[in-house]
Amino acid sequence: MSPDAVSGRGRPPMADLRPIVERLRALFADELNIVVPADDTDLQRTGLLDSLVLVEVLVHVEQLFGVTFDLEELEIETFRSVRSIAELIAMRRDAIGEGLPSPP
Amino acid sequence: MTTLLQEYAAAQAERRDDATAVTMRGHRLTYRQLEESSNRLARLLRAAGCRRGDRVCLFVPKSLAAIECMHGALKADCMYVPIDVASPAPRLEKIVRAADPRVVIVAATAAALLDELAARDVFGPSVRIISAEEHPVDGERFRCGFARRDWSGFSPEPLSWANASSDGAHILFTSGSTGAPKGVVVTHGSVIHFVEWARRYFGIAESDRDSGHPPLYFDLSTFDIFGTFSAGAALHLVPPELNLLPHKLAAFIREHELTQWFSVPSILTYMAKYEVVRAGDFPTLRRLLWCGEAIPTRTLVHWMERLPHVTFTNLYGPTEATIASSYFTVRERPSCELEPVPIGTACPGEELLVLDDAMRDVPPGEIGDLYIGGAGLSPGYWRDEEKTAAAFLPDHRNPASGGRLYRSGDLAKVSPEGLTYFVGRADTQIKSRGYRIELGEIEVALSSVPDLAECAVVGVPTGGFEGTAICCAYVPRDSVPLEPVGLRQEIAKALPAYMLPSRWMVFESLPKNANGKVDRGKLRQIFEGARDVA
Repeated sequence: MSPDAVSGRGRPPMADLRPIVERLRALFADELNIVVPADDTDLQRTGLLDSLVLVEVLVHVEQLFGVTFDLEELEIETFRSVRSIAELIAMRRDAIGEGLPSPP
Repeated sequence: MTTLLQEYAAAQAERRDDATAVTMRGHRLTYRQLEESSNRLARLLRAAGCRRGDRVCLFVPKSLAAIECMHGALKADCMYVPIDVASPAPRLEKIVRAADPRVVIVAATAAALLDELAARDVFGPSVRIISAEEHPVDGERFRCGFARRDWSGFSPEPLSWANASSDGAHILFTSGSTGAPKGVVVTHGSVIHFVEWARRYFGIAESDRDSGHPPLYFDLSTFDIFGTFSAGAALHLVPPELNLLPHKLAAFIREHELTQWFSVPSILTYMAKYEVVRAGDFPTLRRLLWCGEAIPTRTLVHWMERLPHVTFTNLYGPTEATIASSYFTVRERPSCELEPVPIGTACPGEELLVLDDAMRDVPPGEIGDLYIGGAGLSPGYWRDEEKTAAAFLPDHRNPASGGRLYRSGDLAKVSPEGLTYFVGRADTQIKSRGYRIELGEIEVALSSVPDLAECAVVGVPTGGFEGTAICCAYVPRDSVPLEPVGLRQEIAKALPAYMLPSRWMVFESLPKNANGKVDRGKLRQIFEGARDVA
C-alpha cells in the first residue's frame, strides 16, 4: 500500500469499518469455527490467532474482499484484533480504489 | 567438571562478567547481572521456606526475568516448573496440583490467570507467591509476599547448594492420554550430559549468538539456555508473536546476526512456504538445528539451496530422554524430496534400539519399536510410579545392571548403513507444529460436553507446515444441533489453542471395527478424502 494513502487518511472511522468487521467475525465463525467475542478482543493474547489461523484468514480475506497482501508489508500489530484487520482491509481497498500502484 | 546447571552462568560471570548472557526485546542481561540477581532470588526463596527438592512454578512468560527465576530456583536447590501461561486454568490446575509447589513466581501478565487458579483453591496456605515485577502483582484472590524490589535486601554473593547432578532441575509437563498432563523430571546431570556433547560437537564458542526460539516449557529451550551459557555465548530470546509472520522471524535472524538457529521444523517449513529466506541470507549463521518432529525433506532442500554456508543438523529425542538422543548432520543436499531425513545415530553415552515385541533387535530395514537408553533418561514421571514403570523398563539385556530403557512409542527402522529412521507412532500421540499432543487428552475434554453422544479425534498429515491436522468426528446426542463453532468454544476452556481440532465432521454414528471400537483408520481416510470439510 502507498504510504500516502495510509498517512493521509489516518484511522478510518468506525462507521466505515462496521460492514468489514461484521464480515470478518462471520468469517472467523463460519470458516474457522472461532468465536471472536468482540471487535477489539486481543486475538493474540487470547490465543485465538496463531500462524495456522492467520494463514487461513489471509486466504479467506483475499477471496472475500478482493484484496491481496504482500507478506513483507504485514505487521504483527495488524493482527491484534478483528478491528485492526478491518482497518488494513479498508486501507488496502482505498489504495486499490484510487488506483495507487502496489509496491514491488 | 560441571555438576549443576547454574554453574555454567556462574563460571561465565567470573570469567567475563560484562558479556551478554541473554537479550530480549532490546533489553539484555550480562552474566554478572544474571549471577547476582539469581543469587539474591535464591536467598529470598530460602527465606520464603524453600527446601531442597521443592518446586517453584514459574508463571512468567519468556523474558529475561524467566531466565533469572530459573537460575534462582536452581540455586535454592529447587526444581523449576515452567508454566504455559497461555493454557486455560482448568488444565493448569492439574499441573499445579501435581507439581505441589512451595513457591509460585508470577509476572504481571499472568495475574488474571493466577486469580482464576486461586478461585479454584489450587494454592494451599503454605504456598508463597512472589512477584517477578518490581512491585507486588496482586490479584483479587492472592497477595504477593515478595516483589523484585525485595530481592535487593539479599546478598548478591555466591551461595552454596546441596544438590547433586542426579537431582531434578526442572519438571516439564507434556500432554497425557488420560487427560492429565504428565510431569517429566529432568535432572541436572542429563541436561549437562547433552550440553557437554553438543558444545563440543557443534563447536559452540563465546562469540556465538544463539536463538532462543521454543517456549520455555519445551525441553528444547533448555539446550538453548544451558548450551549457550556453557560456552559463554549470547542467547537471543525470540518474542513468540514473531511466529505469526515468517518474514519477522527472518528479520530477527538478520538483525541479531545469529550464528545458531534451533527450532521445530514447522517454523522452517512456514518460512519456506512464504519464501522469506533469500539466497545467501543470514551471512553470520553457521548452524541450523531442528528437533521435535520430522522435517519435510522439501523444506530441508529449500533451506540448503539458499544457505550453502550453513551446517544442517537433525536432532531427535523425547523429553523423557532429555533434549535429544540422536543426531544426523546432513552433509549433502537430498537428491529426492521423498527421501526421509534420518534421525541418525545415538549421541555418545546414549543408545537407540529398534526392537520387536519380544525385545529382540529387528533386522535392518524392518520396522520396530524405538527404545532409548543411556545418560539422558529421566528418572521418570513426577509422582507417578505406574506411568514410570510402564514407560521406563529394566534393560532386558542385563537386568542386574540397574540400567533402564525408555519405550518412546515411536516406530523406527535401521538402514543397512546403521542410520535410524523415524517412521511413525505406535499410539495416538501426534506432533502438530512441534507440539506433542495426546489425542486422548482432547477426547477427554470433549467427553465433558453434555450434548455429545460420541466422538473421536484423529491426526491427519497435511503436507502443510502444521504437520498433522487435528480432526474431530462427533455424534450429537439425540440429534441436538451441535455446530463445530460451539464445540470448539466449549473445549477451549479446557485445552490450549494448539490442541484444538482444526477440522470437524458430524456423523450419525462413528465407524466401528469388528471389535466394536472406533475405526480410526477409516476415520483418517474419511478426513483425508474430505479436505474442505469445516
